[in-house]
Amino acid sequence: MEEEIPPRGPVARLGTALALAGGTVLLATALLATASVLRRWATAQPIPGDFELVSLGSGLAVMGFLAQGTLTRSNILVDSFTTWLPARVNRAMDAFWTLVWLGVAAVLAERLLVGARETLASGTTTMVLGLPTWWAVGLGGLCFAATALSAAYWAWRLVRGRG
Amino acid sequence: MAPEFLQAALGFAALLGLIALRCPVGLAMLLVGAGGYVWIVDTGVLLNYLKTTPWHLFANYTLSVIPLFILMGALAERGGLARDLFAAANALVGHRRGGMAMGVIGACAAFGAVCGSSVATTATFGRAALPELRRYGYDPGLATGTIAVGGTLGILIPPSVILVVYAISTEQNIARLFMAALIPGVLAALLYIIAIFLLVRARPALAPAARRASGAEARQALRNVIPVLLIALVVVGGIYGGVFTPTESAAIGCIATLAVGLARRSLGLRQVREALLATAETTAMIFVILLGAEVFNAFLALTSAPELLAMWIGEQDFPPYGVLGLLLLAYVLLGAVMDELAMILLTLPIFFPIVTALDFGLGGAEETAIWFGILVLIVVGIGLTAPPIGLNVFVVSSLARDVPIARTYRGVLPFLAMDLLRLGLCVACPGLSLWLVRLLA
Amino acid sequence: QEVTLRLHHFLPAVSNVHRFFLQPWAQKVAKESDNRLRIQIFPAMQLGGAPPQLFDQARDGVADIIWTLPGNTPGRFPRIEVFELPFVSHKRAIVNCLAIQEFAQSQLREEFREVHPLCVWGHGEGLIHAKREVRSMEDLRGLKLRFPSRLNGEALRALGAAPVGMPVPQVPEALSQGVIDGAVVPWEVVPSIRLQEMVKYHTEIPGSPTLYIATFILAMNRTKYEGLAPELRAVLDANSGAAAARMAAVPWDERNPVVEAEARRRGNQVIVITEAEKARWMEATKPVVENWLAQSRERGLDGAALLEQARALVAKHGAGIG
Ligand code: NA
Ligand code: NA
Repeated sequence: MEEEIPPRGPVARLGTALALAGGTVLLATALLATASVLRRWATAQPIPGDFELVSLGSGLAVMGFLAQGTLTRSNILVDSFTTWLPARVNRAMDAFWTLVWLGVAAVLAERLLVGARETLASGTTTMVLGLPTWWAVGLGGLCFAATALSAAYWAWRLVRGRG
Repeated sequence: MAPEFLQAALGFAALLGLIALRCPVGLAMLLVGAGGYVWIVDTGVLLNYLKTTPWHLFANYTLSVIPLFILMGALAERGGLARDLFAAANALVGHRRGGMAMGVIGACAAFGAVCGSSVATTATFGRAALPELRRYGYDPGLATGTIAVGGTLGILIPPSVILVVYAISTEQNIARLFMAALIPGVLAALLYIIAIFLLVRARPALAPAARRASGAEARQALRNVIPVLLIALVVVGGIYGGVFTPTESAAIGCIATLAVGLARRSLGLRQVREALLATAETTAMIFVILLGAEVFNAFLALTSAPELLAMWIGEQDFPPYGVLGLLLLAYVLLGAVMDELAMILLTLPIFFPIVTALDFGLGGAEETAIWFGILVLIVVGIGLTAPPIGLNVFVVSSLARDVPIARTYRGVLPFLAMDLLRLGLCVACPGLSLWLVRLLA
Repeated sequence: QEVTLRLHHFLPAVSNVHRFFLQPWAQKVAKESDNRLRIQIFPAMQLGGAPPQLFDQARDGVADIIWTLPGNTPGRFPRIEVFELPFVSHKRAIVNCLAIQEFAQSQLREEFREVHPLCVWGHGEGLIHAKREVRSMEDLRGLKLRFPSRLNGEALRALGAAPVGMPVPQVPEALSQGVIDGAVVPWEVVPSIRLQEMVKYHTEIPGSPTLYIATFILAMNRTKYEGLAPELRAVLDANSGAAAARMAAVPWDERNPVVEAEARRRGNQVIVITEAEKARWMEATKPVVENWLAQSRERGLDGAALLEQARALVAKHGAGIG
């Protein structure tokens, strides 16, 4: 990445807050798995539902990370074929793909919210603890919406030419 | 060409086209996959397919080891564990000619046992060791090249994100793959050290000798790495010894690294916050690619091309090692121009059935699968440092802006020769990969 | 009209269900329609998504036909669960297949209204495969067992075991790492996860009703079904319901003895608990049934009637079958 001013403003704060929330959930998941292993040694019994809680926790964490990834533009792209072009053209291409990613993230946000509504309607729960899962799917949708906002932030910045 | 192959070939061509036009790799796979899906089925069905797919993909027990291993690496980095490793390696061999570069390799290998990502390992040592190497007057290309290849030890030494992804896409046992990777991984570190040794013998100006550490300094440096070595022992030993699952070992590694950092006061709230944000960036990058590959591979399956190709090759009666050689060559070429994670996600649906259908005289399809996984890991490591597109080289370059990228690639070349040697050795003796698996299983 | 239907499921292509039911069934449909109705099978979730999404994929047309376990989405299909209650179903798959299929005709229309169910059935007896000998409830105490469905988990808990939930592919790794001491599955599943290599003891419950079975559904997208030409629909209808249920029993009733013999050849021990012990287990798991009845009431279902009919159908189709 070029040296650029780090993102600021409400969208950046939202992305960072979601990432920290996701990271905290991931740490909590690690703590739970560790506690389950210790309990398995001490009492020969794991914490009930540890597998599904780890899946749930890491799923929520990954969703929370998405907006921050877009905000810091951490994606793998190949620039070897376009370095000979003027910087302006490269920036225009980046702006274009950021807009496309904005559209994709918005569609996925809407899809996950629909998915959450259907999961709620069908009453699906986890296997051991019987926890409902619709809310987690819905949070995933909101995380994709925040990702779309982060993409919008960058698209705007790149189009204005301050990338 | 049969329509199935035409569809698949057009998909791959479109994918490479988008990537060449600066489209991020994960997004490109998602777009082409979605486009192909609409072409073969229709838009409404695609939208239905996407409804809960991201959630079920991300909330997956087996995949949870990826963010956990990344978090462990980030905590270890911010907690100064990588710096300690480098200091200890330096105290042992730093005073020899080229010793500091060898120390980087040794420290990277040890760090690889607590970190599953090559990019994270490269970035870590780019920050912890590169300034030191430059300060002692190491040749810039040798310094950056060493960090770039040392970073690949992050995946070559288990735990390894790439092996996790391989295990999941091919339904293999992660723990066994980790076992199989250990000897080739240690071999990689040894060969890199030999490469440095030969290099500085031929051209002593590349690497001046550094000051010898005093006995007290050396003892202190070695004492400092006891915690990180213990963590590595628990994490890797726990998996090998069959004490806990890879996910659990990653979780325990996170908590142990956090505890050590807190106890030594090298991790404060600010460092933990930085580690969480660094984890978020890397994890988001990987999971967007996984999501893109999910959609692209659904499209690929719809074309039926992978199945037909595997069947066709199976019927041709090609010599097994000839086919294997071709596939590995394809991987080396693809790896040079592509992102490695995307490369294995895209090719495994096609290559894996071909390889496991061949008879290499090993103990069944599972051994072939494990052995092939290690070979794939080696070519992925090559792809990470080979020109024109080596991710590790990019990472080092972003940290050493005064070293031209071409110079880093030149610095990498001697190590690439060692990589090819190791690939040859692992192809010729499957026992290097399978011995430990057979012993421990 | 020539039609190719995509059949999606989560098992690998080498699995018994794929080889001994889905493939022969698809071939039969193709043959009887003069190859005008072809069924292309995509195993191992090749078309994307995760196993719990399969039912929705049939509903939404992502796949034309799917094979799945209603138990993969706990809470969603409360009525068919009655056959997964402890000591309701039969030892032999063929009995459960016919009983559940008949039950589906009258009781499960509402539950599966979003799809066209081609066949609804269940497998034969499940066994306890463990590293330790299990002869009595006392042996089960604290035993960490991977359980296949929500209700079986409750039954194992009632028997004193520690049920652990995880996806089937995790089982070999978890067993070798001591995360679990064993797993509860029918014989048919054993070779696919190499269970016979990792445990030495297999505990069987004598006679019927048996401790546990799991139920399955082969479901088709409604729009796709209704859009078929009448003569093709007729071929599909002739291979649905009881006709399909008879074919569906094959992977269990024919493979189970083969796998059992293979396990014995390895020197593994097959333990059959005594009838007296079985009576204790039935007594101990009664609260699971009562709990299920109470939950059904809460959801506005007449659980008692469902249970009575399920038992009656198992008895009817099980008459004369040992
Ligand atoms: Na590693
Ligand atoms: Na590359």
